[in-house]
Amino acid sequence: MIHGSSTFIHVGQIHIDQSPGAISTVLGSCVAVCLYDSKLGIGAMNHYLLPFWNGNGLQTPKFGNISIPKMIEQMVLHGSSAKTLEAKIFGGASMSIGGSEAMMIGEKNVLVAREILKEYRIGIVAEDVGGQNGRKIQFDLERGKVLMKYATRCEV
Amino acid sequence: MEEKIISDPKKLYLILKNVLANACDYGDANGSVQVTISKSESAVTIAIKNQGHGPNVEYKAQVFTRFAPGAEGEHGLGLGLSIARELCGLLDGSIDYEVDETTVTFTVTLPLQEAVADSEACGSNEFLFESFDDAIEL
Repeated sequence: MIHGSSTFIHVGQIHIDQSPGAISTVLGSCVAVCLYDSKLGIGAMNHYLLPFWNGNGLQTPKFGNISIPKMIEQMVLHGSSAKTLEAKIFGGASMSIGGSEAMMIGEKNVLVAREILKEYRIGIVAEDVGGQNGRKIQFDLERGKVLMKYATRCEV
Repeated sequence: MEEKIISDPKKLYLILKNVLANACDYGDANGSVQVTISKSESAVTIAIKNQGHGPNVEYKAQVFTRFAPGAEGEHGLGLGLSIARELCGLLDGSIDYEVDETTVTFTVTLPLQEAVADSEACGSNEFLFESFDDAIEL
């Protein structure tokens, strides 16, 4: 049961909020990283589409290697430090085009999250990634817990 | 062409269906329809060539405009090619045709796209109002 308001985020968004709010999203091959600071009672969630910015166009947070550091920086600005943060990773389902897995984007999205969190020395305390199903998640900032359901109708 | 392309299959189907139907309907009765697919660095081009004479219009644009004079034909209202053009536009592509003495070639050009994740699911709020009953807590 969420006591505060819940904010839904779309692809390319980062949202920081505080207890007792919640942040939710729906993921296919995209990945959402949830960061939680239990001391401050604040948390953040991002939602990115592709693992790496390829050098063309804007460096938007729809790329994991842009979105994750940006989210960490924002948490630090709110008073968190890597020591007090814990991370959870969700999404990265495999997509298929014509029966074959294309480019393994879901998997690469998950790998980039693990690599960047490792660089920042932020521990991953839970994850539910990969597979064939989309996911719906709700990050409860009061308890730092993520409720997750597999999407019942999802063409991923 | 061996590589796969990434596109919207429904739109692509409708584009090709309309252009092929046009070639079959308005080509010479005993003629053939030749489909050629080629790829450049940034685009894929599908050329559909039939034997016959070109559309009876003053300007090319009329062929791709709904209810434009000359666009309607013996086999329909002439909506097919205007639909194909609109769908090509939605895929950031283009459609054109060339006429020579004995053949007409319609060319559909679509940009090659990088593989992107399934954005239909990602960020969709389709499941937003479903409850989290029986959800897994992590």
